Amino acid sequence: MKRVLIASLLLLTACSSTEQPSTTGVKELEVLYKVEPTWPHLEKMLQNAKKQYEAAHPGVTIKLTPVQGNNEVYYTKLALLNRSADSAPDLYYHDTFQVNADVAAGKLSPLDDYLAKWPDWQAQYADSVKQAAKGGDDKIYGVPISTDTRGLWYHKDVLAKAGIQVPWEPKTWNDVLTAARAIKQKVPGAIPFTMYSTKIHGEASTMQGFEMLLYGTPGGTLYDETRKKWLTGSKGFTDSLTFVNTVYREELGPKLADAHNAKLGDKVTLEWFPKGELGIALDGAWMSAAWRPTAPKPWPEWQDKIGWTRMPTQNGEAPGAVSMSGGWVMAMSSYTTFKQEAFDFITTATNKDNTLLYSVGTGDLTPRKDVAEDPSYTKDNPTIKFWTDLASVTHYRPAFEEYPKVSNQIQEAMEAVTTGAQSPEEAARTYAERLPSAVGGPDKVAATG
Amino acid sequence: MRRWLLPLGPALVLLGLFMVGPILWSVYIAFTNETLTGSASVDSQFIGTANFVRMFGDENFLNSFLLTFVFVIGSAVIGQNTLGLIIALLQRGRSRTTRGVVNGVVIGAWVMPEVVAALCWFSFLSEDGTLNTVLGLEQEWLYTAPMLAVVLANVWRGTAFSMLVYSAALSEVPRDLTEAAAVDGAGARQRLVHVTLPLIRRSILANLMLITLQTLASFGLIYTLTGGGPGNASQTTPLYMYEQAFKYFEIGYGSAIALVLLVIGALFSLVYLRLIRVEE
Amino acid sequence: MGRWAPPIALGVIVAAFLGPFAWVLLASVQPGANLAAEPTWEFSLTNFEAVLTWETTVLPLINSVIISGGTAALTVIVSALAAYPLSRYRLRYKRHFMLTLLFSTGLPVVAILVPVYSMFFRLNLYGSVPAMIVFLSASSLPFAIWLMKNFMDGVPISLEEAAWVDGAGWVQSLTRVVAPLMAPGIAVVGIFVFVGQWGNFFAPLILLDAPEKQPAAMTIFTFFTQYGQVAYGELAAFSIIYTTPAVILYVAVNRYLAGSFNLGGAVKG
Repeated sequence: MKRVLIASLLLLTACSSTEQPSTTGVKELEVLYKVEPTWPHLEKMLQNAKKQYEAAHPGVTIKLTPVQGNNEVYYTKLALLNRSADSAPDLYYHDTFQVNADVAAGKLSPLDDYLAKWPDWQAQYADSVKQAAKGGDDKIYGVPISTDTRGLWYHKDVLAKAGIQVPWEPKTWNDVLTAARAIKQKVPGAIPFTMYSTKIHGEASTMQGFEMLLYGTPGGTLYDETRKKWLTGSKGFTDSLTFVNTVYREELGPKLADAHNAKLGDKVTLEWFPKGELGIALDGAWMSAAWRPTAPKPWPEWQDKIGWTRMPTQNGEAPGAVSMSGGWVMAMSSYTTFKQEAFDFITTATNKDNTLLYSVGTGDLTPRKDVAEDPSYTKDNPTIKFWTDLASVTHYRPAFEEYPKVSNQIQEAMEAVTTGAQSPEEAARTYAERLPSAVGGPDKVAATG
Repeated sequence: MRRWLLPLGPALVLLGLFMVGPILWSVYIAFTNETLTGSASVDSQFIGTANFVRMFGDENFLNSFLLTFVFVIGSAVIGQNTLGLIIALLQRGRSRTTRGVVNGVVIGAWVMPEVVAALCWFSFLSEDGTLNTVLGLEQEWLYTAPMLAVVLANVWRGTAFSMLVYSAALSEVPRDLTEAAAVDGAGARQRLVHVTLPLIRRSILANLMLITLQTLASFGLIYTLTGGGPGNASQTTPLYMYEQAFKYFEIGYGSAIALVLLVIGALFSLVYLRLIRVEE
Repeated sequence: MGRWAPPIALGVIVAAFLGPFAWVLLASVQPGANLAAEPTWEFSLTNFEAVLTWETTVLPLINSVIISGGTAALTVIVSALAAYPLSRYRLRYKRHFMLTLLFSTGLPVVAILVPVYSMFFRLNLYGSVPAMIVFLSASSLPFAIWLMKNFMDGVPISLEEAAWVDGAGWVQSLTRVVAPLMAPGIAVVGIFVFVGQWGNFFAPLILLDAPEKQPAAMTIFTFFTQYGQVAYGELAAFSIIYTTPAVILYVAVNRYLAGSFNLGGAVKG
């Protein structure tokens, strides 16, 4: 028996394919990132960075480890890899809203000391952008690769048919709803308005949907920074749910089946907008990237047909519009042995060339000032300046460790209102009841007002 | 060295290393607050039965539990089992060609990889899909009747197994017994109920046990077809467990759910085995 | 019951089983097909041409063959060895062991992936295809041993006695006498395992690292979840290419399949 066991273990070890730590004194840095069949841009950027870096740093090799799949698959894989020091990658592409959970677990390395000595950090990154991966301890845990803002896209012909003047600039939520009602009445066959509001769209529902409303209400926020507590029971919270309720009860939104369709985003960009079957969409800055000549389904006429405008605050309160920003950063593991080398790779990966390559590919907004001024960045995309300027009204999520769970509760509330299972008041109450267990205790929650 | 040890050894090692070991680990984790990320991932604590207490106050878990029950009874015990028996009975005495075609189609659905099966059903039930086109309807089946959809898809996919079991069992029913009953004036239904079914009862119980266990653990088909949605309208317990463990990274809670699932499977098996033993 | 009732009922059943498959089949040869079942008279193989590239189809299929084939081979060897004493010797707790095996066929494999994953890391096996094959074999073993034992029970012990007289041990007896006689059964077990793993996308997702090691099951899962709306015809074509090997293998052992499903005596142990 013992012999068999030993033999099998030997066999297994012999099968092992993971590289052994090299003995030749060559340092290796492993970089984890995400790739999708329709989204190769990050891979291109990192391959370019690897080439540049290895040429400039003899003795250090970069091992690129891709994860194939959507964001959720990537989060899971990264979390699994990060469980032990052996398996954790040295550097990784990281969603800003996951950063604090890893800071709490001590998985990430603060970068402040290195950033202080990197001239680009002062010269090229706006202060608001630098906050993207700030931990609860006020240290910086990642260098931004992309950022984003959110607002309204609309189909000019559909709005014109509904008797709405284009360019359209709604000043209040009511203006948006009025326009949607006009479309419903005068343009049969067109969906007046879409937003993400169900669990299946995950963080997109919370951020593109709910927070775009909540942060536009007076004093609307999920988290009180001064008291350090999560908030419940605000009027803004219920009002935001009421907006969702109005959209679906008055049938201004997509059919409920579509609201629950994982492919809603594809339907909006690839089907409804090109066919002129949709009026207004509350979505992100990157949408027009799906229509470019290099996309799988290009739509050359989009610049004539589609307009874009700011999402107004509830009653037009100052500053008049609202936006939410997130984005992805390059982060460094606390387990990495070669911190300076690893940080040097971050600076290579996020230099002007590579950031430009990424931004032109993805259509994401760039965090770097020099890239923003580059003509090839703005050439094919007339919307860039508009979305970039929304930075003046944008908000960041309270991306604390508990945030993903809070986000989940928001999605539950939105979905209950979307389907009509609960009234906005009931859904807000359920949220208040469940929030304490999501954030780890009643002492972390406070009622508003 | 005992003579059975050498041939059985490799199997025992593999099962011990990759099945028993991980299961024991899961049992331990089920009593902790272990998570994949965040502070509890570095400092997990033994929390006794808190996960189980939480489970029985968790509406979403109870919902998943009910749906699992519907799924197992609807698609396995009623759907696959009955349809498999009917097809096996209908095939008796048919020509080889007929049997070949029926077997081919039914087994084809079974052999198909889960993702492809999900794709077939996804397009079959979609708004402009085959079903609506044929029936002249405009239903979003996956939205309006997600449980019905996954139950039907699972019947479609799994019936072959029961059919093969029953074909094998029926082929061993001596023809003279049913013929004798026919001579005695028993109608087709009476012959079935009083002669054939009692003769294959052991196969029926064994089949029920196997398909119950497999359906209870079924994950891939629902995951790819509806993802448990809309909302949690088709989120059976394995899917809920996956969501807790891999989406919200609560592997302690996820393992506790898996453990409950395992215990339920064991209870089902005990009932079937007791029935089989009573037969003996 | 009329004479025509059974054939009509069978006809309805066949039609019902074909229904869900129909549009995938048609769409694969219709350029520009989408989710809407609107067949045209067009016929073209462009969808197949589009997906038949090295990265999309060929490499993932090779990976699938390696993973499923390796798992099937290892499982057959280990389960045949294990089945021999279970079939031939009188052992205490045999019935319990067999029932435990049967019970573990209903184990949700998803539930043990986290510990298995942790173990892979501790043993430095993450990303290793051979190691994953060993794990998949372990998870296929319960049903394989169970099936294998049932086939072996069908080989009369008297045939082995002659070999024993000639001084053969259990190894010779198993390889020279029993195995050849139950070749169809071995084929059924092997193909069962092969096809079972052919569709498995979950273990590779968690246990493998690089995309170039991923099997076709993973490709189609990614394709389905992210690309389905854009290129439905290609997805359908890929599905058909991917399903074909499994179907062919089943057709090959179809003749012997019936025997393996005789559960009546099997649960007795």
